[in-house]
Amino acid sequence: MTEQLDHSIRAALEEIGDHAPRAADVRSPRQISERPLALVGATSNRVGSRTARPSRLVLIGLATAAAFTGLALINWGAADPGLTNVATVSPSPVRFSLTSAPTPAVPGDPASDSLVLLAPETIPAGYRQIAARTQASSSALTGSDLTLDEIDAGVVVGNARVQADEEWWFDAGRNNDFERIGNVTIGDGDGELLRNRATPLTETSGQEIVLRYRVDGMPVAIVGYSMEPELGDSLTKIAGAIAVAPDATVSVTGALPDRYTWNQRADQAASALLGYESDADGVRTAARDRGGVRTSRRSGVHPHLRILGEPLRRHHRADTIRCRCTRHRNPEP
Amino acid sequence: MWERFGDELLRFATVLVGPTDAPDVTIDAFVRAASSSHRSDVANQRAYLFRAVANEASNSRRSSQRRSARELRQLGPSATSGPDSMIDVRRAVADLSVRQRAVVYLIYWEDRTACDVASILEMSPSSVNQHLQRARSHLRKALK
Repeated sequence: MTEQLDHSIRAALEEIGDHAPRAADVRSPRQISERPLALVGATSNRVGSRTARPSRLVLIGLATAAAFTGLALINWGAADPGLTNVATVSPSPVRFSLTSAPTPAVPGDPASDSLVLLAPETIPAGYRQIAARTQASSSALTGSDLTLDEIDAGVVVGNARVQADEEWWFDAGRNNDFERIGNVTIGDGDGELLRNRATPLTETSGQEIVLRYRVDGMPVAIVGYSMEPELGDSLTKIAGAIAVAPDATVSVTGALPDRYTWNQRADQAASALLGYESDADGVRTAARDRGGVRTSRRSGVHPHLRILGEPLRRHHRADTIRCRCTRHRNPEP
Repeated sequence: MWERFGDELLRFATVLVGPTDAPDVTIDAFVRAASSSHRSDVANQRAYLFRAVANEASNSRRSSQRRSARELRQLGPSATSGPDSMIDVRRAVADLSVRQRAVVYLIYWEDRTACDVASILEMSPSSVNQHLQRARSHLRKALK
């Protein structure tokens, strides 16, 4: 009996160990420390926007720790002048929570109020624990924790659907007929710019642009959402937020309107967050860590972006993000 | 260090907390160990890292008890199938405490002595034996 027990234990340990991730598939501590995949990007129409469109906030949190976590994409509404609804992202476990109930951007419009989380399949190997730990709690959304089972099932959270298929797409009740209009390379990642065919650009309606972004071939984020006439404005700010690596480069190709070219906006965004500078043609935003975050006035980027971006350069732990998000509720004058 | 010990520590962590959390636990342990002021005093880096992983695993387990159910599921679809002594043992291993798993792993997989394990996990040899006996008793039941 003892011999059988010993044999069974060893066999069980072997079998359990066979499921162990390989070190080569996991971001090493050095990689994490040198190039944290941490960012929070936020963008919003200014209150009282000349477009008179509802104010929106897109918050993207890719927290870190061991460490890439996930994504929260949250849209808020007009009744949010001080951006008081702030999502927090923290590891161990990762929680996506709202400090106050989200307000639909358009009263009665369910699609304007959404929370999107990455499905487990969208998270690179070694980081799926993030999804396993993900909780989303908001009385306005679910009133309960979001568990892994629910993610696997593609649960509807609020008005957003979390998909478990490899398409890693989100559907907040919109037409998902997108066409590719450009490519994006930021740091080690590649992305696609997608434009929704169903929302042609107009001065008043804006357009939905989505950036699908990958690092090392793995989809790590669904980024971007723009319904603003300033096409790509939101998106490019976020693109700047992605470029957190000191040696990152941002390059964009594709067909974007002349009026607001991607590279200009990407330059601004990256400059605002990281102090990067673009070279002559503006297409490539060179990696140059200028040791600080420029002021929003100089870059023309919304000050909230700066507030969120600044701490990430120094403290990429999501705990800090949470603190800064709290501070974010009281923007600097 | 990561290239040298990463795989075996990930394996160890997988036994302790399951494959899903193993990378996080291992990396966190690495980062914590690397930033420790006592690191330069450590004679046996490997044992030190094993201990760090075990401690991190304990913290992880304490802070997230509810993940245990998921880990059982992650043992595979056969984990819920019919009677099979091997499967039962695996499930029983998953039911052990982190300390017990660590002891079982180091004894059975690493072929360590109780004194070695005591040194790695910073506990007394008698505690190691106690953990081992309890674990074996639990696992023995799984075979019945």
